[in-house]
Formats: sequence, structure tokens, C-alpha cells
Amino acid sequence: MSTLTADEFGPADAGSDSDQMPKRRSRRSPVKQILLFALMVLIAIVMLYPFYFMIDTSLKSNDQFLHGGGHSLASWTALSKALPWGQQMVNSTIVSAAAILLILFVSSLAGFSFAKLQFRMSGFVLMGVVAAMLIPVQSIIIPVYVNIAHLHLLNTYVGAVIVYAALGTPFATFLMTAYYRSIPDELVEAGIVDGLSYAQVFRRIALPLSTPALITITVLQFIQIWDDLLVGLLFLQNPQQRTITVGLGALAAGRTTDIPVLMAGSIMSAIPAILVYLVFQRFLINGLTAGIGK
Amino acid sequence: MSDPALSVSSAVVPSGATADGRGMPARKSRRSTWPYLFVLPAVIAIGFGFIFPLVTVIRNSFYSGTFYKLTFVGFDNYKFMFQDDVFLTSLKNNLKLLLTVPFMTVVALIVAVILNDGIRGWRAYRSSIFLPYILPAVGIGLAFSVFLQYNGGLNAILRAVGLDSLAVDWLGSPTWAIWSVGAVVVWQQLGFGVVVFLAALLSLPPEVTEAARIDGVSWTQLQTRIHIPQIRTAIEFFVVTEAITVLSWVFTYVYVLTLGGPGNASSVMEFYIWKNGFAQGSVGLANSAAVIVMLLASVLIFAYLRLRSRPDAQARGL
Repeated sequence: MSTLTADEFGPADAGSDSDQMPKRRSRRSPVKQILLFALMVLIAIVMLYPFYFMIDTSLKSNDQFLHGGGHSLASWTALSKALPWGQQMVNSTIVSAAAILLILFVSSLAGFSFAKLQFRMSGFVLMGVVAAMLIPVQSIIIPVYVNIAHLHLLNTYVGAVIVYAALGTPFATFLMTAYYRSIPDELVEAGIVDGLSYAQVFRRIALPLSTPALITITVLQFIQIWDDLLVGLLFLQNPQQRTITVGLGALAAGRTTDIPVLMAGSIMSAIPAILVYLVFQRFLINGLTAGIGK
Repeated sequence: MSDPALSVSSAVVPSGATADGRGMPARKSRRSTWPYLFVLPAVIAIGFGFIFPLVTVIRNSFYSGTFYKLTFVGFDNYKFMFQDDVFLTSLKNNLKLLLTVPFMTVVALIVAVILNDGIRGWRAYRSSIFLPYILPAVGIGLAFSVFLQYNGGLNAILRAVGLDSLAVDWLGSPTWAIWSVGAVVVWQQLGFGVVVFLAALLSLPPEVTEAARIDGVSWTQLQTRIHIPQIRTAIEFFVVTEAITVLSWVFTYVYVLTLGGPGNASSVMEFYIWKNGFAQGSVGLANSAAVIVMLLASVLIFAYLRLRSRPDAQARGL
């Protein structure tokens, strides 16, 4: 890593992701190269140091943390007592899986209709979908809370799933619409000519073609629901049903003084999101940058 | 770390798509209820999750009382709110957080430009800078709430390098608390900017760069005069998105880092809504604060919709 050679991204690399690598290397003076490198290292340290700090702190007992020196696994063993993380991870998984299934169902149907079928006001409705995507959830959550309370679904998985699914629908619909618009109309027309109904065209032609978009939505929604605090905090108040993020939030709000245990909990709660990120990075980045111009 | 292909248009939106909301689908419409049936579940979800709450919040902002029993009070909530120091502090804090947007935009641009320049190991840099973006804000907030304590990690570093005078109580000081929240938000959101800008830079036609280089422009000129102007739409998109973020999506950070404290010094409007609506039961106040947040956000949402309807954004597939 000490020198920056101009042919770092030569043909040898080209096979891996040929059309996506930086090609605009410019000829820089050695001084400039060193400065840029130093800057990038500095930024990398600033970005990664907190992770090191979390891991390092979690590997100390509270006593070791307060009085300096030594490492142990005491905090990781103590974590299960402070935070029922096993159960809470199961809760997170149940809630996010169910909500994602609903979101996929709703958004693929709607996206197909917006993209491939014509109906009155479709442009207007789609604009509403995009606007909803950006509405601050905090400001509209009270009436949703009252509604869920009226339906006697507070502190149930079903209630939380409904809320997560509703909140996730706009962005997913937006992505599905964009994706279906990229599929040639001829495919749909051919299906119709062959005598398939719209529902059959959707199920047999459009849906199988949209697997990449469905994966993207799954990954994005998984991370979003897994990381969410607000909805879980309001709609799942029983400790037995809490998601891991809410559990961790509650542990922190209880102002636990055992900081290493909190750090261990933070790392634990982040592991699934990190794994999903590492495995599906490409889908994630594509989903997040979809719809952005140059 | 697996190899992340970074292309705006390949996986989700194959190129050549015109999904602009105006380009008419080539299909001739049949008189059919299918299109409506297909959209119906989404409309119900959005009606339940967004439209109904939106209307209710606006209506209830003219009422006071509890969740279930409301009395009409006209503009009293708004009058009270704009004389309430806690609300004014919260509003000011959101505006202060807006100042982090230009900062993170510039830093993200610099990083993206350097990575685009073919620096060794650019994927590793991108992955590490993007990592915070996908982590739970609760975990991040907790780590920083320890790291930024008076006797925490940051001040230990500052003292070690002899900058004792800079070692303030980052989260406990009324002056610094909100800026500390802002710094954590920047730390987390920076990677999103880098990914967005890098995706846009990588999609630029290499011919223009080649031509400029043949003409002998310097590195700095190449970046500031040729590359950055070409990704203007991506920059505008990022600025609008982040403005919405710091205005209305920072609840978790405040909740975990400072709980709005010390006193109410680092409260933001979302926190004010939560505190009044759920912790103190002043639903009317919470609703009128929500209306203000939405009014401010709607300006930005409108800007976002305008950006999306621009021809160059449409050419990119949306």
C-alpha cells in the first residue's frame, strides 16, 4: 500500500468488473499522490476507529474498562443476562420477514401496474408514492399508533408487521416501477397475444424477471427494519416481543452503567446487518443509487 | 469482502429505461379493472400508513387533549408552541443540523473524486466508509455516547496529543451537544454520499476526460471544471435527501446520544413530537409540531420531485 502505481487497474483487473472501474487515472506528481494517500488513510481511520473502540471496549469487564488495563470475555458472558438477545433476534427476524413478504407482494403488483398497464391518474398516484417515501415518519406516527390501538394490535407481531409493511411500501413500489419499466413492453404484449390474462402475465412473465429488484428490496428493507428504533419502541413494548434494536435501546435508556456490556450488545445487534451488507453489497448499492442522475 | 459492482443502472434499472412517470407505456389500455386491482394493495398501505395519518395530524393540530378525547382549540397549540422555548430550541437545532449538509457533501465529493481517480484499494475504502450507513443507529449512538463522554475515547486522544483545551464535555455541554449529534450523523451518512457520487462519476463517458487530458488540464481543473459539473444532479439529489434526513430522521441519534439534554439543549423537532405525544401526553402540541416538520419537509420533497422530473434524471432510468 505504500506506492500508487498507475497501472493498478490494468487489464488484470478488468475481468472482475470490467466496465465499472475507475478509468480516469490522472498523472499526478509523487507529492500529490502521497498527500491523497495520507488523506484517504486519515479518513479511513476516522471511519473505522469507532468500530475498533466498540470491539476493544466490549472485550473488557466493567472493572477493566473503568480502571484501565486487561481484556476478558466477561462482558460477552454478562450480555445474555442483560439483553435476551437470542429471543430478540428471533423477534426481529419474524417481524422483518413477514413485513418484507407483504412489501414484496404489494410493491411488485403496484410496480407492474404503474409500469406496464395504463390507467387513469397513474402518474398522479405514482407521484404520491414518491412523496410518501420522503414524509417524516415521526410526524405521522401518532395516528397510526391510535389506529393500531383501536384494532387491538398494540404489542403484537401483527401490528408491528402491518406498520413496517405500510411504511416500506412507497420506496419498494418506486423501485419496482423503475424496474418493470426497463422490461420490454413486447414481453407483456406477447403474453397478452397468447391469451394470458394480466394476472397470468404478471405471475408467469414479469415476476420471474424481476428477481434482482426483489432481492434489492429485501436487502434494503431488512436493514431498515432491523435497524429501526421508533416503530419498535412504540408498537412492541413488551420485553418478550421486542426486536433486538429496541431491546438495545431499552437497555441503554435504562442507563446501564456497564458500558462494555452495552458495546457487546451493540456489536451483537449489528452483526446480521453487517452480514447482509457484505453478502448483498451490490444489490444494496444499486438500490440506493437507483434513480439518481449524473 | 465480495466484489461490489457499482453501476447505477445494471441491477435494478437496466439502461435505456424511461421510467419518468410521463413516458406513456407502449401498451394500449384495455377497459379493464386489473390495473386498479394491482395498485389497490399499495394504495391501501399508503392510505393507512401515510395519507390518513397526514390528514389526521393536520386536523388534530387544532385540538388538544389525549389520544381519545379531543377539544377544539383553534390555533392555540401553534401559539403556545412558538412561545415554547423547548420548541424554539428544537427548531433551531434542526436548522443547525442543516449546516452539516454542505460539510458532508464537500467531504463526500472529495473522497469520491479521489476514489474515482483510481487510488489503490478503492473498493476497500468505499466499503469501510459505507459501513456505518447500514448499521443500527442505536448501536452507533451507544458507541459514540461512550466515545464522546468527558472521560471518553475522544478526549483521551486529545489529551494524549496535548490538546487538553479542546477536550470539552461533548454531550454534556449545552453548546456542543447538538454539534456532537451532527458529527455522528455526518459520520454515518458520509458513506451514502460517497457511494452516490462515485456511482455517478463512474458512469461518466471517459472520452471527455481523455480529451481534457490531451488538452493538458491540471488534475484540480479536471475535477472541478469537468467531473464535478457533470454529476450535478447526483449532488443536488444528495443535498436534498440529506436535508430531509437532518430535518426529520435524526430521532434515534438524539434519543440514544443525549435524550435531548442537557436540559433541552439538544432537542430536535422529532424529539419534541415524541416527548409531547408519547412521554407527556400533550398530543395537540405533538401534532402541531408534526405539521411544522411536514411543512418544512414538503418544501424539500417538492424540490426532490422537481429533480426527478428533469430530463437528465429521466435519462438515467427514473
